[in-house]
Amino acid sequence: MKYIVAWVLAVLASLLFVGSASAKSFVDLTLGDVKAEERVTVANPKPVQLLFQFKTAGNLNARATKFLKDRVTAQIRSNGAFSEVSEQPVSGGAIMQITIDNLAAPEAVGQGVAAGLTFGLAGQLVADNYEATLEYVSGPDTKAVSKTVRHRLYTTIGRHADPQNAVRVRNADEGITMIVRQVLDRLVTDLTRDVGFGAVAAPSPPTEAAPAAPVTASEPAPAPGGGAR
Amino acid sequence: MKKLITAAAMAATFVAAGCATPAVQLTPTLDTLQAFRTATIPPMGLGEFGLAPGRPPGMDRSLLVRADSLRPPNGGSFAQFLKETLQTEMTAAGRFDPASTVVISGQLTVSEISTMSVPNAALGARFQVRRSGVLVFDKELVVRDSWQYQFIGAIAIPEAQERYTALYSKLVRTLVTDADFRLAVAAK
Repeated sequence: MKYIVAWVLAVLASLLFVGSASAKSFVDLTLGDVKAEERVTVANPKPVQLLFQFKTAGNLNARATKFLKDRVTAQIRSNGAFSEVSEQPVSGGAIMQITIDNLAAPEAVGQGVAAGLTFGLAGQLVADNYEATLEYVSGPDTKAVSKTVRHRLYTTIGRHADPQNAVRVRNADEGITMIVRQVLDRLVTDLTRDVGFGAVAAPSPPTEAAPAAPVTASEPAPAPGGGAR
Repeated sequence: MKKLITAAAMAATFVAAGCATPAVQLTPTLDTLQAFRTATIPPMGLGEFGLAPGRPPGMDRSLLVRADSLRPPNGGSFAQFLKETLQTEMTAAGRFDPASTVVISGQLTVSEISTMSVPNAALGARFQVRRSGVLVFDKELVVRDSWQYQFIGAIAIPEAQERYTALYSKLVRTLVTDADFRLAVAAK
């Protein structure tokens, strides 16, 4: 009996040890930030009603949704593609729904336990996959425009080599923050470049200094590169 | 000895407090909003929501999920939670009007979570719609979900709670897409 108790305590202690001292987080570099030349400036920004939901393996995760909602709203506002971003219905009836789904990684629990049982000697690399989807309707009874991107957060536990093509972040929260920023920026950029967006999109002004020319701006232009931070 | 009993009571209180999880209010979804926004559905009001007659009162207050319990948000009832979910969706769709003559009310009839061999959850309500006080719709709708068994409580309990909570949105979507409901509330 005492061996069983000792084993349980050892597992618990090892899990604590691994969780606090040996976990490192990395963000995949494949998606990256939106480049200046990929952006378009929306000539006539319109208001949009924003809906956000976070899912875990395809199922609604109300707590994570609540946790990230303000962060997502703030970033969509700062992007400049819309004249107004609101939770309530807006004039014109446009709605944009953002869904971030943390896809299942069934092997993750087993890997974590293995790392814990060996006090981190059995190092593990766990990939947390995210699929972000944007659906936009310009009004009632209109067809939705849909865009999807994928991203990935890596966590190494115990003694394991750093993942390839990834950047180290201080912790998982910083990693999630970077992932949310990059997926939102990419999704909104892809939306504004879609003909179904329903707005006339003019290319962003070149970043290099151009010869002076008279410019007449009829609409307030959003800040170029608003999402790439 | 007295100190020991006090300490034990405090510990038990902390454990009990830690094991009562409030449900989180849901956000509206595009599918449901688009279903509400069709031209024939007018702005509507919400009437009384409560527990269906004959159901145990505790059913409206908490749900046991292994060693944890799920409670409605803000100390309310699950019937009230259903009303709030409906109001959130209707407001976001621009279809909530407290002064409307078309009023939806509801009675909670089913509220279950099981984490046994085939984990599942169910939520049901009897919805009634009155137009200027005249009953034009009366129907019970039940939605269900089931998922894969998880042994570890730290995974199984939150998953069961999230799955159950998501049924509130699903039940509202089921109501608004119900052909009889749409016919009953259609703007005359």
